[in-house]
Amino acid sequence: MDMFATNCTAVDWAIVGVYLAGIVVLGLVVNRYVHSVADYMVAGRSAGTALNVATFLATGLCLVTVMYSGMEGFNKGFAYMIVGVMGMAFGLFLGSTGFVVRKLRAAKLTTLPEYFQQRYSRRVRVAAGVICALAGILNMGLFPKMGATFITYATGLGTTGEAAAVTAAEKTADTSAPKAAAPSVAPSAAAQKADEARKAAIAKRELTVNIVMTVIIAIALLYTVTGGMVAVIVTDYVQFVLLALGLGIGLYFCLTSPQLGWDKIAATWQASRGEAAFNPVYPGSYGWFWVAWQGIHFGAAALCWAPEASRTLTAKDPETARKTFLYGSPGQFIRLAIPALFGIAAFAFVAHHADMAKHFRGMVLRDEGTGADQAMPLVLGKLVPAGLLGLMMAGMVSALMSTHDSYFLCWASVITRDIIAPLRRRELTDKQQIRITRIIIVAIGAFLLVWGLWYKLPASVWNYMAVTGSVYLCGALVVLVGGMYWKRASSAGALAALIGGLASVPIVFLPKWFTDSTVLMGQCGIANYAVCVLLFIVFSWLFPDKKQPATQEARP
Amino acid sequence: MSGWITFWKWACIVGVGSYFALVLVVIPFGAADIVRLFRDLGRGGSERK
Repeated sequence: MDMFATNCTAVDWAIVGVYLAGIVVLGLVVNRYVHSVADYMVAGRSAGTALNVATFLATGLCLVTVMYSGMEGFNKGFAYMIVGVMGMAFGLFLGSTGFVVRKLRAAKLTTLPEYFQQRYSRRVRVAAGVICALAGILNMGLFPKMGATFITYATGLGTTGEAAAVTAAEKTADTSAPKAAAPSVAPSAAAQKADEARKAAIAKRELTVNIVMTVIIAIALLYTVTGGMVAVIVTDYVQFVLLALGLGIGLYFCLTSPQLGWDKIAATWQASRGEAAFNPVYPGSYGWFWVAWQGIHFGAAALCWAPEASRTLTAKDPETARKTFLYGSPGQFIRLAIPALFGIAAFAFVAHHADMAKHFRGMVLRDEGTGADQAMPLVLGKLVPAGLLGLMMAGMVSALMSTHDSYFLCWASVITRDIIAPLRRRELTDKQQIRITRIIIVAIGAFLLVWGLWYKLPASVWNYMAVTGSVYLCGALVVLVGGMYWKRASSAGALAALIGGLASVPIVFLPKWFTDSTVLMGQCGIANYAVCVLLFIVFSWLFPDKKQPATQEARP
Repeated sequence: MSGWITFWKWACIVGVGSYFALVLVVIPFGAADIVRLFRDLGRGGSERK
């Protein structure tokens, strides 16, 4: 049997197909409830607590979250789950105090950068809009590719007959080469043919991933463009339910499989990596700098990352916004911990299967990465039985769709409301804003397709996400919190801090040895936050605002 | 090291338990919120018209 074969059958594909068709129809049907730009962008600010929690968690738990957490789990072990613990702690803090989120909802905003116009100036709003959209779209760049990779390997679409082809190539070379005459030629010819067979198989799998990626983008675009935030919220609810089911099924089979189980998984990691697999600050694991950076980063993302912050804005009142964070806090742990456990279990599974261990060890030796992106979905596809695999896949595809739609709408809304509208002399009508937003959503979809085809997956997708997020979050966190709680905060300080966040852009393009180092990444991440704080304070002191900031609601 | 293993075991038990408890609560109340959301949006649309 091919190593890349899984338990996926026609029944599983039918379940996924029914789900996808249903979600598109649902998205199209709710279009008739969209009457204004507020309906389109923030669902009329009418979402209750339970619905807001569902959509908040569905947005935060994308298939790319499952992938990068699974990859970190596969590469680093239990230690990665410290990020989930910090996320849950921060969610509890925001939910119990209402810090920032209550004030944001009370301001009746449509997008977060609108606050920057209320508190500072129009220039700050436009600058925040540009940087927010740049960071967000770059951050989203790997979503479709990662999602497509998961689907390809979990469903067995990655089956290419690679093992058989490599073995056949080796046999042919063995029989055709005159062993006695030229003993050194035979292994070289065999290796060459096997290498060619392997490269052909990799190319075939790449093509499959790219086709799946194109289909994913097309479906998400279709219902987001038509239904806006109403479609996003309703489909997010359905996706939340399916997602919980998918995570539950995956977790159950990882922990109850006779080959795995908690004790066996822990013992495998203990034997392989020792304490570094469990202790995040132990030498060989992440280290203090990385952990501290992630702590700050998680807080910043919860407050300022537009797709999640927009859940503060869709809540029907400030109290609902606060409760969303409080009740959603276990989800902040789960969204990283369960996928990490998938990766952790996949490592133990691979370690006990000689053919898989050989394949993934070969990837490391050829400097092709650890293969974590293939291993986790592949092992899930092998562990979960047919029928249930379809349900789990529907849950995972839900995770993919729920984040794509929210992100599409969010970044397009920011570009329309915070860049185009403020720069125009005449006010845009609701219809114009919705039309422009729809065009931008399609443009973002086109960009994602090109970026996904061109950009190679880094070893740590999590670091890529964190760095691209930093471009906006470093400055925005300082400007948002400083604006709310420091009277001397000025527009000049805000602009300087936002521009300071751009220091993270070059990191995306740095060589692999740098981006793979958690110590260097942690140091850079913390330094960028520190630079933004410094710029904000110094420029606010040197260039205070001449008049008091306006208190009325911002208008585009 | 055994302390860390125990810590992660309990973190997972508490986290997974509270998450699935939350799911059981959010499913029925979320459905009710959707009905209310459509009612509000429908009323808003007809009022604006």
